Amino acid sequence: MRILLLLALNGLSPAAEDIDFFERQVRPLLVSKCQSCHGAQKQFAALRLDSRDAILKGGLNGAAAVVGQPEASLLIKAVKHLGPKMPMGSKLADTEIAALETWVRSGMAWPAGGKPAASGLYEKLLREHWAYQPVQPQSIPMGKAVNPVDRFLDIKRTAAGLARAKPAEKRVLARRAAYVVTGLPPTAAQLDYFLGDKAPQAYETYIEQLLATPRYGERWARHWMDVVRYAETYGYEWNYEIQGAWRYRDYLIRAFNLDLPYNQFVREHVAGDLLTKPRVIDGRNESVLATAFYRLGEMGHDNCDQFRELRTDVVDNQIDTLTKAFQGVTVSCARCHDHKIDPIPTEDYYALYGILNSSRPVARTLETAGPPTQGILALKRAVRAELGAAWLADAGGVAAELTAALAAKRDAADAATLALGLDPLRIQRWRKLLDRDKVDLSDPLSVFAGPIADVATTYSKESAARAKFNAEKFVTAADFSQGVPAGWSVDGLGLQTGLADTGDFTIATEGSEAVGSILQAGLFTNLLTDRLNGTLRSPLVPSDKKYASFHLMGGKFAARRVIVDNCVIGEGHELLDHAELRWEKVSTKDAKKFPVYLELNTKSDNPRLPDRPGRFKGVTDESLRSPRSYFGVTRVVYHDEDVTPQATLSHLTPLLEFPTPERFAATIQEALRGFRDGRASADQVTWLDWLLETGMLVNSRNLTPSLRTLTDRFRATEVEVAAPTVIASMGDFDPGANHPIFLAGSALNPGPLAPRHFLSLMPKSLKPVGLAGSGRRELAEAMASPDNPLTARLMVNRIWHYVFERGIVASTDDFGRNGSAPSHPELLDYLASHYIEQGWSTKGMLRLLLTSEAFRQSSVVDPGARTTDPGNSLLHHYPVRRLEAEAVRDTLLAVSGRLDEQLYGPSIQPYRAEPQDHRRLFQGPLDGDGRRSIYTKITRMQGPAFLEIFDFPNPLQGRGNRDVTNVPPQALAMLNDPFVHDQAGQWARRLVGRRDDAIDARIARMFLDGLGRPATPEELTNWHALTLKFAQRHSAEHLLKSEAVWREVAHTLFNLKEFLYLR
Amino acid sequence: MKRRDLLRSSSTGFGYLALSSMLAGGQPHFAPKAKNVIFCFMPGGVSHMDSFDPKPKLAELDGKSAVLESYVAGPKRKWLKSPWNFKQYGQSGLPVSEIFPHIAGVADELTVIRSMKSEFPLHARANIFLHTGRNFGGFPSLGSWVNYGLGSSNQNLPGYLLLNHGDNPPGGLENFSNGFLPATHQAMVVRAAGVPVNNIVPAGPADLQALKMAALRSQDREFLASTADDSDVEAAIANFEMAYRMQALAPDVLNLDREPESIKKLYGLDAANEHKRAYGLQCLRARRLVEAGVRFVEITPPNLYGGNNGTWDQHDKLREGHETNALVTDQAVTALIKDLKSRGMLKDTLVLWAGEFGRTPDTGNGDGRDHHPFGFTIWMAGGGTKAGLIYGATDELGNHAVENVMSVHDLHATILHLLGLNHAKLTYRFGGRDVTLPDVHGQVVPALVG
Repeated sequence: MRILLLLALNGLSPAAEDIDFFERQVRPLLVSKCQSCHGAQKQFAALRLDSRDAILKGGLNGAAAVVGQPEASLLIKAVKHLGPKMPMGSKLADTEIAALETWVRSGMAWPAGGKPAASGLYEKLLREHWAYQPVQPQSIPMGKAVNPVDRFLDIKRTAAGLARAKPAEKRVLARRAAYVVTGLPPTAAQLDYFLGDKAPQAYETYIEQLLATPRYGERWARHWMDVVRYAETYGYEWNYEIQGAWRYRDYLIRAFNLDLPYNQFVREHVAGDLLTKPRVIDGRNESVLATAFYRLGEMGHDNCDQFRELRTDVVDNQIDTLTKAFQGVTVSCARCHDHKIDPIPTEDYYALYGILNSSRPVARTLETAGPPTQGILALKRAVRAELGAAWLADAGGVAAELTAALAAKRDAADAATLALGLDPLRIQRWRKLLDRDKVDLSDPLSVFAGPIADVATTYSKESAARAKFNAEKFVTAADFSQGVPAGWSVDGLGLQTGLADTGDFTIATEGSEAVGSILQAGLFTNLLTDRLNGTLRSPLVPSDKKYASFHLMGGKFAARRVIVDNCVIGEGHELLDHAELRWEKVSTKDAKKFPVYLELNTKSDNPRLPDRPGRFKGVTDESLRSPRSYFGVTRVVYHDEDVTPQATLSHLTPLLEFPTPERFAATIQEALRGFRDGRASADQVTWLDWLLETGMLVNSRNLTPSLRTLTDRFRATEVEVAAPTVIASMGDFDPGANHPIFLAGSALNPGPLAPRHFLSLMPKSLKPVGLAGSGRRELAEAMASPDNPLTARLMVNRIWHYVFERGIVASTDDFGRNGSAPSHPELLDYLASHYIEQGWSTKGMLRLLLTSEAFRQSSVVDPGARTTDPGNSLLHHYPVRRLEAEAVRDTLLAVSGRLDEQLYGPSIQPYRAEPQDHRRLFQGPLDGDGRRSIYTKITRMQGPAFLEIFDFPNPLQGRGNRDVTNVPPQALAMLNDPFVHDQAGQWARRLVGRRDDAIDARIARMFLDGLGRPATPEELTNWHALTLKFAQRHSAEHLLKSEAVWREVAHTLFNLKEFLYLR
Repeated sequence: MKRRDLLRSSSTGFGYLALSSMLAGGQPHFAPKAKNVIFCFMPGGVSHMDSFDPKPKLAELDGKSAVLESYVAGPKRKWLKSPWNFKQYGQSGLPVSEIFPHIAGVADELTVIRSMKSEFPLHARANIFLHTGRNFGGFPSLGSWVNYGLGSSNQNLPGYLLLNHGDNPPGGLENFSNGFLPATHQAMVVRAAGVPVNNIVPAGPADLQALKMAALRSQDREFLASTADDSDVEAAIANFEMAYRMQALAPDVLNLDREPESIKKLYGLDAANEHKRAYGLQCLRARRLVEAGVRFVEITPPNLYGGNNGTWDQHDKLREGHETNALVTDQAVTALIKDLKSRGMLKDTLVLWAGEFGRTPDTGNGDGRDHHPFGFTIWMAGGGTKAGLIYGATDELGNHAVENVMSVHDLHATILHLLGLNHAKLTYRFGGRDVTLPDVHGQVVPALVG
């Protein structure tokens, strides 16, 4: 703002070339070479070189530059090493120095911060560019055509003197419509029905049938997956898995098949986790699934405190995907400077950055409710009663045993007498425990170590010292004994029922032991079973504390993690492997510079698992397969010293007055009664844990027959508990934070904060101010609003693009000034309003487009029309199209008979010429198990080779407009790829199993199945002759039964252009 | 947008298809010095102070506690002297480490840049940066840009070939991607072992394939007519013909049977070490491919060390790792220069030898060096570069490039310049911008041009 004012006062209005020169040659130099010492963070010599104003003002040595006079400018002298030698370390290249000189000489052009130098440009664009104007309701033009779409098209086409092509043949149309709607050729049944249907509405009926098959959702989900750069691994060096990515693909298939209104679809994508009434399907939160789209981009695993761009690039990719997919604007162009072409100031970029960066990229559980608890809880109660009684019975002799053991330790004369009638093994065990050296004072037997008289004094002194230590050195971050404190959050079914009272316990799920652990009050994922998941997240940790310590337990690949700057697959995690509570410390020093939070995860919730080979011993895909994993936590503290809290001694108080075996035994018995009756105190749990740890309580489910039965029943019940499903998603847990503008896009040069808001090019009603949380919820509403000028237009144009091969706006992802202008602007607005009026129904829009005469016309172009409108922007014929990658592969499967129509589920690894297991590029079956291509696993480091040959897109950036290339490797693939031959063989096997009685009949069948039309008599003659040549070559005796021969015929047919191209 | 990227076909009667976007605009902006490029990529990070940039100061400081301003700064680091001796070679007096005895012999052909600077100390990023000028994938590689700018001069082979050993360095195929440029410009992989190119080997006997091709020709022509001669269908038919011919031609170019024994020996194809033979094979293929008109050939070495991170990534066992890698590559790279020169091809073939960064002058564990982007060495030969030049310098410890600092963008701009292309004018419209290889950065370094 200041700069703008200055420029205005000086009457300066730098020419666009000068600004361009500055941006290309000068700004990068200032940012990379100067501003780390003379910028927002450091001002050596009180000098800043991050604005024109500041440079002119200068520092301790006076003005850094004089406009127009490089020779008089300190900045130029310094970089030429005439005087101070700058930058430190290395001299600039001559070309760089020359650039600075030129810049100073020519007036030091500098774009005004935030607003374009040529003020008024953005306002003009906002007023004039078509896409930023509200959608105008259109009345349907007069005309002969029935379908409104044709009325609009006819006006322009007729004006150019062109006629529509003739209607397409019925078979051609049937094939075309089937591919557009389902991505597959029509089934024989669909085709026969349509051809036989003489009703006037036969075509409409056919379209309805196509839209009703689940194949429709598979086809259109895949379109959308291009738009959101769908992949299932993070790429980079190790290709970590994106949790549950394939469930997002299934979400899309369901959404299209259900015809989910598009505005709801948008809402769920942007903020599905924040909806008050999410859609629930089969007990799972469907709405939250959509937010996985944010997480499908590339992501590195290194530490973000060292490598800032690891995080900033992730957010950049999210902004790019979000704004391109739903708004068709290239906001990411404004990362380093104001958008040069569209009215998108850099503030807009960082406003969205603030919104997205205020949400944490977290794992979420989809199930809305846990398993039924009553059965398990009743069994737990019964086990507690049975076990408590058995243990009490066992503990009857403790006083006598301990007396005898103490006597033996002292070599007392009566030691043998005292042992009479007692279990010698148990006395032996007490002896062993008494003989341990270096026992902490918190160990109950330590009271028998010293002279009896001193015990009370020693312990009360020590107790006070420890209390003081704990009070002075630690501040409580969270105490989970009463639940989840404010600011902390939990996810997962294990923690839904995870609040343990003091003395609660877990039952062992394998082996001969009865209990897993006896618990202090806190949060535990495994109170019912360790098959349930859980995540505990801290608020952002304070920046002034160096450590955090957890009082926790955990195992089976559960982990504690420190998440810096939202880098959720960073290196900061360690696995837990202890079933007893203990203190563990983590460093939180990064909180000084970055937002940092702590997380505990069961394994399914940890995005770093499966970790790369060698990071943790024993962590393999195989070992991670079982859902079992658990953690528990009672307290978290923050502190500055490299220590952890000390155990207190309060549990020993009952002993201190009379430290005798009798009192010792009585304390144990009281603790056991407490356990049996479910009213144990924290101190009693400490005793019980100690008894279990030392083996003085027999932890065996064979203690009584009844206990054995009960634990059997428990195990049979808990093993049936289904593992929860977890996906990569987003979550708002922190107050929203505005983000600084990174000057020239560099994270090392933070500038002023950009308030969180929606794009400034939006109408005022869609720009709420004063966002409380991240602002994602409001963003979702603004994007899903009928008043948004871009949302509906963009989507109807995408639909049009997939139906007619080219959008009304050809640049489907860019509605800005760099994009194409709409060929039929009124039609676009008609469609957008119609879409909104019809409840944002995508199927409805397809019905409208597919029943137009424009869609139903032939692909044979009139020579005159070809000359007048070679690009076919007036749609005077339907374009000839090559099948997309998936359609090529799926058609091969469908024709060969191998297609498996199973919907949904985990993806199938692609067949790879070079599998690399260490990078998670695993080998898959040649035919992909016969599943449609949408179920092929998309691994970011190496895509599915066969599909890529046919322009399957690279999932690094979203794009709704695939390349359609035409290159020899496509021909090589059809000629030689093992998959194509495999499918030819598959088809041949099916054919030789048929009872055709003649070659011609079989060839006729193949034409129908492979090309959707009967063979002509001439074709029958030619292919008959060809078949005989193949037969001769293979010396086939029973031609109709020869797989080899029919494999050659099938392969030839697969290579027809008619097979690959749609008319 | 629909791009019709066609390849020229001269023998099938579809002549007018030569007006394809691929060949259109395939003209240099000014008279080129070089026509082709062979990029010997050395992934993982070759240690500059152990190869071409000796630092005697390190011998003095060896074992002393190191203070290094870098991302690896840590408490227990020590300076590490080079375990190898250097001698000066040729008229230029280029110091070369004893691990490269063959390259030392062609010292006067080299243009050594000892002041390279990258921006990323991580393999994946630095690799992608070196190839595309960006630190994230999705952008075209240098080889793709060159082909986009100049087109291919062989109509039966792709213009950008990657000669590898079945494994790609971090960043994967993104390093060699066409990004948003037309798919014709992506690298086609030629593996050292087994079948060199995907789908290049006919899946059946030649006579059966000929039968099929005959049937396809007549049937496809009918289909073409039914689409009123749709240009895409026509191009697809032409592509089948070209693919058919490629099956014969590509193996022929890659087949070394007709090379004399002396040449095979020159490249080390008689070596005892199998990796050395494999790398030699790829280098010799590279020469044959350039001879056949392939514009840009990139060769990666076998990945013997460094796990997933590139073979030169010796965080430990520096001595063993660098010696083995040098043994595997030294002779063949040198052979390439000698062979090109003796055929008169070196003057218009640029040989580039570079890794994504160098290695630290200090060590964290006593026998290895870490990633170091702040100053390192690469070299070029032929293609109009100034032979026998040592350009730029690092400081006395080999830490920072201090003299004539050369960025990756400068390198790109200079290579394009040698090929007759102006880096600022070689643009492709994507995402609403006219994108160039060095983005808004990069300057041609005239001193490197002979």
